[in-house]
Amino acid sequence: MIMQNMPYMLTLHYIVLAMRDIRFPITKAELIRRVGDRQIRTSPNGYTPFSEILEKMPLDEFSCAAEFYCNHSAS
Amino acid sequence: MIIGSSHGVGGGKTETEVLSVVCAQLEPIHAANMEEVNRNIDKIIEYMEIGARGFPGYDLFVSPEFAVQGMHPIQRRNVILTLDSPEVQRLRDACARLQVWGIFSVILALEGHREPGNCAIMINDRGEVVHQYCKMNPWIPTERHYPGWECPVTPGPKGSRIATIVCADGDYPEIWREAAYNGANVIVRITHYMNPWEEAWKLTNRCAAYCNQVYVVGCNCYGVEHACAAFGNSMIVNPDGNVITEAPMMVPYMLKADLYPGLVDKLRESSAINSFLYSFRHRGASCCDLGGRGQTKNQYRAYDFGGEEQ
Repeated sequence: MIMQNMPYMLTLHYIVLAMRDIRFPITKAELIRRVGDRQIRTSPNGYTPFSEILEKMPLDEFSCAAEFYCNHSAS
Repeated sequence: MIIGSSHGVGGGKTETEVLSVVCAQLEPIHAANMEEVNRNIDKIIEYMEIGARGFPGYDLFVSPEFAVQGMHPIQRRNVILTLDSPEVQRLRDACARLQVWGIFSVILALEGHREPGNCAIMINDRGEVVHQYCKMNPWIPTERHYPGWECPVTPGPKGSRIATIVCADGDYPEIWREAAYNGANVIVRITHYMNPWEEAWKLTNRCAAYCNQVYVVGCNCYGVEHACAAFGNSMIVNPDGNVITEAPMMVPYMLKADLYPGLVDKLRESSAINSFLYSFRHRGASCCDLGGRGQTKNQYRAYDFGGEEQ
């Protein structure tokens, strides 16, 4: 049975799409330079600049994708 | 990855993109009206979104035969669509919004024919219909759709070249071979495959993958309806015929697998032996009588019919 009133939770999907060309390790500054201007869909009708999302992440560099996405969850 | 377990692949370094496929095993309503069609589409979009939450960044969504309209035994003509129908537009919008490619089953009106075609369409991540296939082997005598006339192969995401076939098509080795010969490195078989053919389902998917060195994505419905039970057991098969992943029977489910379309290209280019797509047109190529080219004439009687009759 599919749950009713599914929460949005699609932001990560759009972040993964925006990160397709990125290789690790990479610094936050480099990420902001390369993909910071992308718009990430963060709600059914709303977008957030990727740079805003990136700036909230606690680390300044990411050794691998897992570290990056954990940082996103932690931010 | 067990490709190459029996023979080497030459040609040096292989690079391939990764195609992330999500396959929805669901139970369609056998729709008698457009309201029911739209309920089916609601469910498909729900599965597309679940895929995006669970497997963020996936590339290709596949849904089974009849997932959009079902196959109502009496009212089926009420729900025939065209590519311009608002129901198809909803699927196009969902692909564009999620930025994923999607393969969907649609019963489409065919110009110049009384009966519709049992079609598979592929929509790209910008919401454009880029591929349309009409089932070449309707399941006679039950199925009355007009039969298709070609097996197109369309470039998909991540280096894939995708062919679609529909249900009973897969019981005919020639359609798999046609798809592979036309260049497909991934063949998507969407089905409403029923009991008592559970073993035939596994056999045909695996055999086709091996004989044609191609990925097979088999996406089946589940559910008991007016005359039979579609059993699920959707599966994704490696080009060597081994199953990568499969769904249980008779339950809603989502399969996901990462495929490497470039490996299929490499196998066909560089395998020294078991290169079936070469050897079926160069039979006996190792025989000195045939100058290293083999017998290049078609000597199969099974395929010498037609041509003069259209």
